[in-house]
Amino acid sequence: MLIELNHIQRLYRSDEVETTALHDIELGIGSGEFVAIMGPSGCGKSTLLNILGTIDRPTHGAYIFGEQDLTKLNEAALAAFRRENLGYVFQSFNLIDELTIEENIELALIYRNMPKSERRERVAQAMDRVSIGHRARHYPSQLSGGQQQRAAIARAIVGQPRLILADEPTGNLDTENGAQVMDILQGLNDEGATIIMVTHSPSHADLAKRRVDMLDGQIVVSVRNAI
Amino acid sequence: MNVSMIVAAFLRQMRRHRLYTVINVIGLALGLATCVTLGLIVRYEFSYDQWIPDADNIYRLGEVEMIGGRPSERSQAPFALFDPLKAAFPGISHMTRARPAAVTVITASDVLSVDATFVDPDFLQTLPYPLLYGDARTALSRPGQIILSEEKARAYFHTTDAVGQKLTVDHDGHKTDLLVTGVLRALPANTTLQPEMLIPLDSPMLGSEVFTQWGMVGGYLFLHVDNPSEARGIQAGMAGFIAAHTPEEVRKAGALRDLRLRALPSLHFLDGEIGDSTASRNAVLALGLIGLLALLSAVINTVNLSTARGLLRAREVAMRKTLGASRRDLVVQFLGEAILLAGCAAVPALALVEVALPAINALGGWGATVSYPLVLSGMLTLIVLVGVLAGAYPAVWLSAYDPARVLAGSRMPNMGRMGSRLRLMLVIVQFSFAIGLSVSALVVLRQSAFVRDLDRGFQRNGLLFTPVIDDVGTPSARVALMDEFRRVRGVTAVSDFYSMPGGNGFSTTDYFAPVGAPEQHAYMQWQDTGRDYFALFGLRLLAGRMFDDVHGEDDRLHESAEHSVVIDESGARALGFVTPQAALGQVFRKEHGRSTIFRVVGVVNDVRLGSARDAVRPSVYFHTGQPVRFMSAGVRFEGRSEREVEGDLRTIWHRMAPDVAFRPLRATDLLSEDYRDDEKHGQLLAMGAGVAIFIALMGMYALSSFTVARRMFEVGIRKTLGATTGRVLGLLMGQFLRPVLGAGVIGCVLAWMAMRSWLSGFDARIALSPAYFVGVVVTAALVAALTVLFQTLRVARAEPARALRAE
Ligand SMILES: Nc1ncnc2c1ncn2[C@@H]1O[C@H](COP(=O)(O)OP(=O)(O)OP(=O)(O)O)[C@@H](O)[C@H]1O
Ligand SMILES: [Mg+2]
Repeated sequence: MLIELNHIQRLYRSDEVETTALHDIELGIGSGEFVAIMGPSGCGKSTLLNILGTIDRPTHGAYIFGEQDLTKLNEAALAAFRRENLGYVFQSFNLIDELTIEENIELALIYRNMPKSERRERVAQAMDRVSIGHRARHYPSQLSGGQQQRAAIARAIVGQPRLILADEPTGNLDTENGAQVMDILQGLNDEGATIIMVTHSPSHADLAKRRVDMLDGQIVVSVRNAI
Repeated sequence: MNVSMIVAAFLRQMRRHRLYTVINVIGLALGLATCVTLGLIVRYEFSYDQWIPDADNIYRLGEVEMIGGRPSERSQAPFALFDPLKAAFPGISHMTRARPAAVTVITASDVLSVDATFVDPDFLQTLPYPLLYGDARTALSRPGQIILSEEKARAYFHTTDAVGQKLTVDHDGHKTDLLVTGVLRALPANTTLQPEMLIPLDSPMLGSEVFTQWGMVGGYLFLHVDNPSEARGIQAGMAGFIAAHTPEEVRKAGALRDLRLRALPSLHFLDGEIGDSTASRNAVLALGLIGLLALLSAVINTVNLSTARGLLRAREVAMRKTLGASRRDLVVQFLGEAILLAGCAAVPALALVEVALPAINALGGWGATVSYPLVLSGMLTLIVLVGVLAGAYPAVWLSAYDPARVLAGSRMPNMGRMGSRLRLMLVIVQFSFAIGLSVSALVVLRQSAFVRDLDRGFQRNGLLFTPVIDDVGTPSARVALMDEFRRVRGVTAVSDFYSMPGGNGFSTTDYFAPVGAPEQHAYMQWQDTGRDYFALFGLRLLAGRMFDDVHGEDDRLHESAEHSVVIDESGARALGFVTPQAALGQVFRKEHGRSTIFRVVGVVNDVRLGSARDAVRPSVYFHTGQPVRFMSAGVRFEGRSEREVEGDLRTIWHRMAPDVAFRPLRATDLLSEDYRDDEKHGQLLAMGAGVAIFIALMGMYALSSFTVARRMFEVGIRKTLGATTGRVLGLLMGQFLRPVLGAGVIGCVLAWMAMRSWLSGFDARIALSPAYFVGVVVTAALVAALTVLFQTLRVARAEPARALRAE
C-alpha cells in the first residue's frame, strides 16, 4: 500500500455550527493506482482530497504514506513532503495571475532548491507534455480554460511526483478539452504515477482503474473497474 | 447618478471599510494640515512689507563694492550720496536717510540701550508707516523731536498717547531732551524695517562726518517714486550719476561700483542673501516643498488604497454596469466618493492647523496667521485636487472593465499587475521622501550639535561681555571700571579688547608681510587686547611669552618704530614660519600704510571667534595699555553663578557710569547664534520627516491588510506546492520591504547630494558618515516590517486548504 487512511475524521467548527465533512474514512490505495472519487456535492470529496494532499489536517485518524504517519509531521515537514511527492490539479486551475505560465509551472520546482538550468529544462518538458509550450510567456488570463487546466497539470507533474491529486480537473472544461485532460492523466498513470481524481463525470470515472463513491462524508462503495 | 446617491454609496463604503476610511481620513488630514501650515509660513515669508501702501514703488538703495575682486552688495550706502541723488533725479518724489544706532534712554527708574533710527523729515512720506498719534507731516520736521513705537510709548509713559511728553536720550555722549511728536502704530511682524524710535538726523547727537564721508556707510537710503518706469529710469542713470558725482579715489578703490534700487518687498530675502539677516528663500521654498510632499504622500495612500480596494470593488462595478450604469455614472461616483473623503479630512485638518501653526510660529520666529478666506478656498481647491487625483485612477480603470469578464468569475487580469506596479512606485515615492527627509534632519541636527560643542580654542563658559564701553567715559574711567570688576568675588580675569565672538564688536582685517619676504602676504584679523586678554579667553601659549607691563615696547600706543605682537598658530603659518618656535623674534609689517615693525614675542593657539561656516582667520594680537575706541570689556569668573556675578557687575556699572546702559552679553549666547537657525531648521525637518514616515507607514499598514488578504489564495497555492510558512513569510515581507529599501537608495542619494552641498557651506563640519544613511534605512525597514508583520504572519500561517477557499 502506498496510502492508508485509518479512521479519518474531519470536523469543521464555525460559530456554533459543526459540520462533519468526513466520518471515519478507511481507505487504502496502492502504488500505480488510478482512483476516481464520486459523490454528490458537499459529500466531502474535496475535503478527502485535501487531507490526502496534506493541505488540510484530519481531526482524527492516521494517514500513512509509505511507512510514515503524516498526521504526526509538523508544518515544515509536511511542506517538504508535498514538495517531494505531490502534484495537485484543481477544478478552478488556481494559477497565479501575476506570473506567466512558465513561471507558474516553475513554482513547483522553486521550493526544491533546484538549479535554474535544470528547472528550465523540466518546465519545458512538462509544457511539451501538455502541448502549451507556445504559451509559455503568456499570463493565465490570456489563455482559454482548457489551456489553463493543461498548464495546471504541467505544474502538477513537473516535479515528477509519485502521487497526483486532481479535484474535478475537467469540471470547468468542455467535452473536448476534458477528454484531452483525461488522456494526459491516463498517460501519466501508465508511466507509473498514482492518481486520485474527484469527478462528477461517470464517463471520466470509468477511465480510472478504481471507483470510490462517497455519501455524507463516508465511503459507500469501492469498485475496481473492469479493463 | 445624483449627489444623494453618491453620498449614500460613500456612507455605506465608510461603514463597511472602517480601516480604509480611518486611515484615509487621518492621512489626508495630516497631509492637508502640514501642507496648509507650511503654506501659511511660506506665504508669510513672501509677504514681507507687502502691507505697506504703494510698497512696489518704494526702493532701498544698496551700494555695490568690490571685495576681493568680486562685487558685493550691501544694504546700506554712504549718506554723501543723498543731496546729489535728489538733485540728479527729479523723479524721486520722496527720499530719506535712515541710520540705525544704539542710543541710551534715561528714564527716572532706568538706563536702557535702545536701537533708534535717525531719519530725514521725509521718512514717513517715503515709508508710509501709520501713526497712532501725531501728524506725519510735522512729527519729524525739526530737531529735538522723536516718534516712538507703540510698545516704547507704553513702556516709558504707560500710555500709547505719548505725544507732548519729554524723553531723555543719550548718543555718543550727547544727552538731549526730545519731544515726543508721534507714536507709530504697532507694525506687522512681516516688516523689514521695524524702528523703535525715529529721531531727526539733524541732531547734535550725530557727528557731521557721517554725512560727508564717502568711505563711511551712513545707513539706509529709501526713495519713493510715482511709478515703476521712474525707478527703471533712475537705475539706468545710476552709472552716469556715480561717474559724475563720486570722487575719483572712491571709484578707484572699487568702493562704489554701483548703486542698486531694490523694491521694498524684495528686501527680506535680499538681506538674507547679502548676509544682513538669516532669511533664506531656499529654506522657505524647502518648507513649502515639504508641505507639498506630505500632502502628496497622503494622496498616494488614498490612491493606493482605492486601487487595492478597487480589485474588491470590481464586482460591484460589473454589477452596476450590467444593471445599466454608464461609464460616466461610474466615473462620477468614484470621483465623488474620493472628493467626499478628502472633504471629511478637511475638518480635522483645519483643527490641526489651528493647533500646529502657533507652535511652528514660535519655533521659527514667524508671525503667520490663519486667514480663513484664503485657507478655506485653498482647502477647497486641495480637496477637489486630491479627490480627482485619488479618484481618477480607480474611476477610469474600474469603469473601463468589461463586466462579462469580471462576473464570469475569472480574476482581474491586467489590473492586478498594473495596479500593483503603480502602488509599488508610489510607495517608493513616499518612502524616498520620508527617508530623505529623515537623513537630512539627522545630519542637520548632528551638525548643529557639532557646531554647538565645537572646540573654538577658548573657554566659553563663565565669560561675560559688555560691548563697546566708550560711553563709560575717558580711557582712565574705563580702566577704573575694569579695575572695579576685577574686585568682584569669583572674577578671575578682566580685559578690554576689540573683536567679540560671533561676529560681534568691531573687527579689522589687514594684509601683512614678513620684513624681507614681501611676497609672503598674509590676510590677518587684527585684535587689540588690554591686560589679561589671554587669561580672559583662556588661550594657550605655544611659544614665547604673553604681553606684560615690563616690556614697554609691547604697548602699541607707545610711539615706537617697533612693537611686540602675539600671533596665533595659523598666523605663524600664513606668514611662512614653520613652527611656533620658529616665529619667535621674527618681524613683519603691514603691507600698506605705516612702516611700524611688528616683532613676534609669542604664539598662541588658534581661536574661532567667527562662525563655523567661515574658515578660521589667522590673528595678530596687539597690546594697548589703555582702552582705545570701540573696545569692549570681558569678564571671566569661576565658582559663582552667572546671575550673581552679573548682579555685582551691574551695581558697579550703575555707580561708575550712571548714564550708560548696562548690557551684559554671555559668550554662550553669542555663540548660540551660530547654530540656532540650523537647529531650528533641523527640528522642522525632523517634524516633516515624522509626518512623512507616519503617513507612509499608515498607508503601508492599510495596504498590507488589503494585498495580503488578496494574496491569501496565492499563498494557498504556494503552500500546496510545498512552500513552508517561512518562505511565504519571506515572500510577503519582501513585497513590502523591497520598495522601502529601493526608496532608501533614492532617498539617501537625494539626501546625500543636498547635505553634501549644505555641509560644504561650513568650515567646521561633521563627516557625512554612511552611518546616518544606513541607520535611517535600517530603522525605516524595521519599522515597516513591524507595521506589516501582523497581517503578513496571519496569512503566511494559514492552512493551505483554508487559504485556497478564501478566493
Ligand atoms: N473550511 C470549511 N469550513 C466549514 N465547512 C466546510 C469547510 N470546508 C468544507 N466544509 C463543509 O464540508 C462539507 C464537505 O465539503 P467538500 O468541499 O469536501 O464537498 P465536495 O464533496 O467537494 O463538494 P462539491 O462537489 O460541491 O465540490 C460541506 O458540507 C462543506 O460545507
Ligand atoms: Mg469539491
